[in-house]
Amino acid sequence: MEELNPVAHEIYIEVQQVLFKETRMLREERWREWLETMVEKDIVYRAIVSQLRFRKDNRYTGEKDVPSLDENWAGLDRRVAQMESGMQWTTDPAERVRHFITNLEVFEGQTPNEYVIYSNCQTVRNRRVYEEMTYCYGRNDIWRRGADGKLRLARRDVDVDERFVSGKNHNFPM
Amino acid sequence: MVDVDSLVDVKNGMQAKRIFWDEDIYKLELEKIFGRCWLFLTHDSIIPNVGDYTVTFMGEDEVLVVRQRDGSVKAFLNYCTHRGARVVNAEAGNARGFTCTYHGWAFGLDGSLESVPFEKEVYGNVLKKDTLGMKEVRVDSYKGFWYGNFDHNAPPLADYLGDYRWFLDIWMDGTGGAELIGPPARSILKCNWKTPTENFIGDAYHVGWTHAASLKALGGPLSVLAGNKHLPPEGAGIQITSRHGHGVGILFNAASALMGGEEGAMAAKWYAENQPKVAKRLSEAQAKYYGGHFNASIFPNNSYLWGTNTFKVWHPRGPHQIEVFTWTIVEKNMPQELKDAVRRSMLRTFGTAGMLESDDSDNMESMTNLNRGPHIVTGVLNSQMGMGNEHEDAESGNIIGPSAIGETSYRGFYRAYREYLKARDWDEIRANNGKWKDELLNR
Ligand code: FES
Ligand SMILES: [Fe+2]
Repeated sequence: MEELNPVAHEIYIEVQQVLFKETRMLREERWREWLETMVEKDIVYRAIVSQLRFRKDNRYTGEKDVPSLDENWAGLDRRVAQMESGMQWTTDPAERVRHFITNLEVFEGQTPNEYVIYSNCQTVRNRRVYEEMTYCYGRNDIWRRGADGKLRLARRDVDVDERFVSGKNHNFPM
Repeated sequence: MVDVDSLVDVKNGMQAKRIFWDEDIYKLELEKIFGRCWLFLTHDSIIPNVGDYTVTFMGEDEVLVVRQRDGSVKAFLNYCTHRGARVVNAEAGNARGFTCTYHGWAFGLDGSLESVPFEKEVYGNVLKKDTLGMKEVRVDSYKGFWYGNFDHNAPPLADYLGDYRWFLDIWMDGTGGAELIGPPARSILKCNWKTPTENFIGDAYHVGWTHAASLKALGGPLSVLAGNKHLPPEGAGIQITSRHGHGVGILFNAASALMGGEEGAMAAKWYAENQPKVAKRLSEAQAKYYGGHFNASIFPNNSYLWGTNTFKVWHPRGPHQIEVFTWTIVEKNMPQELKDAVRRSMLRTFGTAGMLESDDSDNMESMTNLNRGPHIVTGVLNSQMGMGNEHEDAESGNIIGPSAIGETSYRGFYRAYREYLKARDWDEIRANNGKWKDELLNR
C-alpha cells in the first residue's frame, strides 16, 4: 500500500467530531437527515465478510468476499423509506444501537478535499427484551468536503470480523 | 417414543406446536428425515475445477464436498478416521489432498488414506490403510445442483424430486441453467428449522403484512400488497405440493418482484424476452410460469425464491437454532449487468442485512421460543387456508391450490413430514407412492 499522509491535528479533531455526530444522528433515528446532510449522492456503502481460506491456497478461483451490504444512494434511500413508513414493526418498540469508534486514523485522500479514514468499531444493539448483540468491524471511509465546507460520506467499506452473523442480521447502521 | 400421528393432522391441516420444540422429536427428525432425504450440498459453479472443495452440513454432520479428477463429485464426513479431528478447516478452496492437523494422516481427493507419518516405524503392519479412508456420503446432482444422502436405499435424486421437477426446470433449465454466486453468507437464527422452510414453501399470506414497510419502500410488482391493501386478484397465482413434500407458490408475472426502477425494468425485459425460449425448450405450459415469482422449498430444508433470487439452506443446530446459508441464484445466460443488479437486489431483500430477511426472522424466532412455556407448547398450529379447493394437476402430476394465497404447500409439507417420521425405511415410503394424494384431497 502507498504511504498515506496524516492530516493536521485540527482536521483530525474535525473528522472525529463528524463521525461522533453521525453515530448520534443514527442512534436518534434521524435517518433522513443523515442521508440528506451527511451522505454524498455517489455513495458506495458496503459491508463485507470474508470466507475462510487456507493462506497458501491461490488456486481456488471462487470469490472470497461475502457481501452483507452493497448499497448506493438509492438503496440507502429505500432503507430509510422503510423506517419512515410507519409500518416497520420489527423496530417497534424501538431498537437501541450504540457505536463505539476507536483507533481513528485520518489521512489525506486522492484529492485535496477528500480524506481517508480508518477506524475500528464495536456496536452494541439491543432489541426486544432479551436480544443484546455485539458486532466488531473495521471501517475504511472516504469523506469529501463540499463547496459549503461540510464533510460528507463518499465511500464506506465495512470489514466484518465475524464469519457468521451471530447477532441475527446486519440490518442496522454499521 | 414419539407418537408421530399426534403431531400432524393432514385432513384438518393442523400440527402440534411441539414439532418446533421437543428434543425427542428433533432426534427423530435427524434420524428419519436428515438421515434419509436428499440434502443440498453445493453447485457446480462453486467447485468447477479438479481439487476444488467446499465444506457444509448435512443435518448436523459436517461434510467435505470435492471435485474429483474424473470430473465427478464426492462427499465425505469431515473428520479424521484416526482420532476424529476435523480434516479441513477452511470453508472452500483447491487442494491436491487433505492432511489432518492432529497427527498428519493424509487423505487423497477421493478420500482414501494415502499416507501416515512414520507408518512403518510406529504401526508395523497393523494398519489396514485401505479401510481407513474418509467416510463417504452418497451424492447425486440435478441440473448442476448437488445433494447428499445418508441412505443407500433412497431413490435417486431425480426420482426424489419427482414431478416437482416440472416446476424446477422452469428456472433450473428454462434459459440454459442457473448458478449460485459466491460463497454463502452465514447467519445463526434462534428458530426451529421448519419455521423458515414452511414460510418459504407456501406463505404468500404474510407478504403483504410482515413485509408491509419493505414492500412499500421498495416498489416493484409486489409492492401493491403492502399493508394488506390488496389481495392478489383471482387467478393471480397458484400453490403446489408434490410427492415428497417439496412445494412452491407462484405469483404470475411478478418475477422482478422487488426490483424497482431501471434495474426492475431490465429484469422484466429479460423475463419477457426469454419466455418464448422457455416455451420452445420446455413447454408452453411451463413457459406460462416463467416470469412469475416463486417462493419454494425442497424438502426438508432447502428454500429458494425465484425473482427475488435467493437460495438458502436452513441447517438445524438443535431444535431451537439454525445456521442459514444464503446465496444469490441467477440464470447463467443473464448479462453480467443484470446478474449484478439481481445480486444487489437479493442482498437488499434477503441477504444478511436484507430488509425482508430481518422481518421474517423475528416471526420465526418467536414461533419457536414461546414454546418453552409448558402451556403454550401443548397448542396446535393451523394451516387450513384453501382446504378443499385443491385438485390434481394432470400436466405436472402435483397437487395444485388454485389461488395465490393459501396453505396447500404447508399441508403437503407436513403430510410428507409425518410420512418420513413414521416410515421404517424407504421401501415403506415407496409403498405409499400411489396413495399420497388421498388425504390431502380428502378422498
Ligand atoms: S486425528 Fe487425524 S491424524 Fe490423528
Ligand atoms: Fe417473508
